[in-house]
Amino acid sequence: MVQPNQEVIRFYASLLTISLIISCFAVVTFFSIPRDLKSSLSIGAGEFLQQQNLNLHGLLGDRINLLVRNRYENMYFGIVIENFDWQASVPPKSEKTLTILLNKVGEYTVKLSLGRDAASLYEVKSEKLVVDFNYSYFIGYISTFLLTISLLIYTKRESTASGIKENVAASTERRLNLLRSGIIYRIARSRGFQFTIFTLTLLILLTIILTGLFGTTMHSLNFSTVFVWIVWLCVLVAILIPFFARIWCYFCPLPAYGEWLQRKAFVVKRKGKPLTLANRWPKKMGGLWFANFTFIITALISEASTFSPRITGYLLLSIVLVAIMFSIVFERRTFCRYICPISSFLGIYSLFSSLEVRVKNFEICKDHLRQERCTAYEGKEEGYGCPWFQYLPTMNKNVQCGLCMECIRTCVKDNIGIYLRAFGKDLLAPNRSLDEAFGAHTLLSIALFHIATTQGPLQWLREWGRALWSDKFVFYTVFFLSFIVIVPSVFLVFCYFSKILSRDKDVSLRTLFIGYSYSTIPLGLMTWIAFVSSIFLKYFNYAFTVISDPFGWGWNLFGTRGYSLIPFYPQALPYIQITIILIGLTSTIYITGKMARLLLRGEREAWKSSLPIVTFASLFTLLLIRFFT
Amino acid sequence: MDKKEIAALTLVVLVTVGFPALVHYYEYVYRPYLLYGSLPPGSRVWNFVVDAMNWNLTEIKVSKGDLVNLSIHTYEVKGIYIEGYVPKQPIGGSLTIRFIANKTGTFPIMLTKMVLECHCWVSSEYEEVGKLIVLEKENR
Repeated sequence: MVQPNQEVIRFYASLLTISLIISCFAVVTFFSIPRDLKSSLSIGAGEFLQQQNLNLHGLLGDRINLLVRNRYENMYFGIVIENFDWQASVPPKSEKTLTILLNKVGEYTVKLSLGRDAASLYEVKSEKLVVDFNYSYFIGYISTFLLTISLLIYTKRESTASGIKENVAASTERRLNLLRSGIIYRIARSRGFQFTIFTLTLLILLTIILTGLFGTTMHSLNFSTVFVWIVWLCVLVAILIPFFARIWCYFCPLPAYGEWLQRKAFVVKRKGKPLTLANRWPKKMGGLWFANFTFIITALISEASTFSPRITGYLLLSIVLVAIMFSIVFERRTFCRYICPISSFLGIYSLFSSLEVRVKNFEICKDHLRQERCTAYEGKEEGYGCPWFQYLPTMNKNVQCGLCMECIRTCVKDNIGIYLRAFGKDLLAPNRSLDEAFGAHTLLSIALFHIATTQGPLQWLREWGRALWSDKFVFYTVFFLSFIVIVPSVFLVFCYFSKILSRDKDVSLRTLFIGYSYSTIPLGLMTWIAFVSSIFLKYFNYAFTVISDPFGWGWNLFGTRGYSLIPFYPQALPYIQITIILIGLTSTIYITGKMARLLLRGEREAWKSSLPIVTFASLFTLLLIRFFT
Repeated sequence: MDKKEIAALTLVVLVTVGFPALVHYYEYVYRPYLLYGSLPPGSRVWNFVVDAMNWNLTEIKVSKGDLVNLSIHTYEVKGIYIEGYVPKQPIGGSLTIRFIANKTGTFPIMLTKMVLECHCWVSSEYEEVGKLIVLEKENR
């Protein structure tokens, strides 16, 4: 009799364990995180029960919170749901929130009654409670389950193939230089074109600041809040970052005044010293640490900002002023690289992007560097040195490349290209650091927090987030920061299991934590895209209103002021969000498999080590799917 | 100074200073002229101020061709519309509805019953809080 191979048994045991973990988590999440629905009923003199409809309709797992206000002096109100094992009563002159957990699918009769005491109620009216099956969650769970298992089988097969480490490197080398196109080349080299774009975005920035400070306080009718927190955010997160890396920095108007002042020029390069004290940013505060901090602060007040055009206006005005101050005190674009509140967001997610600026041929740089210093870094008579302090010959990541195109104008060897490349290439780049890993977790945690407060069980918390000057905001801050602590801590625990499973004593927990944090970047980006897609579908048509009436003063510049504000097909939202998050999960599992092989020596150890990280990503996905559905 | 630089400087100054100035001119000079200047002779401008949380304006009686400025203030968010004149829209902080009474008749002023917690003024339940009565000029 043939004995089954122990390796095969272990393989199937691993898959079975992960399947069980995912399925148990799916069931627990489904019933422990109900979706809250609200309904209310007010009865008393002049408020007749017969005239009111409760509209009790929900999905399996939802929770209906029915607020009953009984204003009668001496009448009890009773409610019974037949065949549902649920009943309640509300005494006279009282107010009660009745909670109905929808744990059975079907259509039930709800009997509403009144009476002198709770024991002798007579039926006044009957209604229907309709509970439908939650198909979207079920589809989400099945898809997550199947994707995880099939990708694990795929990565296992890939790991058993020979010469994997070489393949990891080779697969990332395929790229297409966009500068071969004459138009793109001319645009990239043209300072005039960039200046024109700058003035256009500056005009929009000024409109945002003016409407924010002087327009209507209704956030949904003010250009500043609608444009920044709906239009700009959606376009940036869903289009610009994934496909064009930090291209936003190419036309971002925030540092424009500062840079013009520093250079004492708009379009041409002036001779002589720049107008700056040219201080260097302290090395101890280098990397993305400070940018992570400013992003956390901005995200913390974002709830208040989205609801207040004034806060949005002051926020942007203060960023412009701080950027000017930094360009006077520090050299080049210190503000953009180290301080800008979205620098960490743009930098980290640009690692996943399909665009990069890199040297065409390193050998050309090597020969050139024997004769003189790199002009792309130092600058020359006609062009500036890299404003982002990037040393192009060795630059291998998008994190700190602002795509300003200065290197293309300055490189004397014309050795710089703009490349279309495979998504996620930079995630496997060798120089990984803790600040970027921490940034990845911060962004992931904040995305989870935003989804939990907009679509999940913490929706009640949003009100606290808007009350910027009250005690409630302190509690909101505690909740917010707890997410930033809990998510990386849980991930660290999974990394610990990863280390145990790998049985590789030479790899430290820190190395695994940093390395695998990069694997979560696709999932984080897709979480953000799923978040903004809900904003897009619900509120994008507000843009048509504010473009005609930016201040909310009753203008109608383009005749679109009365445009319908009804959301566009909201029923599709859960399915769109599930699809997006599953793309993130797929990429994360794929990158995790490759990352494991870079971090660990043996192929078998690498696959085992990746299992806890894949489990973490799958559970995170399921949690999000519960929030979406 | 280079010609390009002079052109760029002019453009930046125009955008930075000229744009806010243009906005100011449009709102405080040109638009009032458009609205007030287009009123038929003998028309009046009516200014009403009301608190949405404590609505006390039961009747707005104006003549055809008059300009109505209805300023509504509230600390909470409520929805409002005037049948035939003003579409459903939210009020939060303050809102000035400005229109020319160009149709005669009685038009109910509708306000949401409850304070709104979301962007649901379109679907919320409304109640009549007052009437806009537009009369022919000679009847007033």
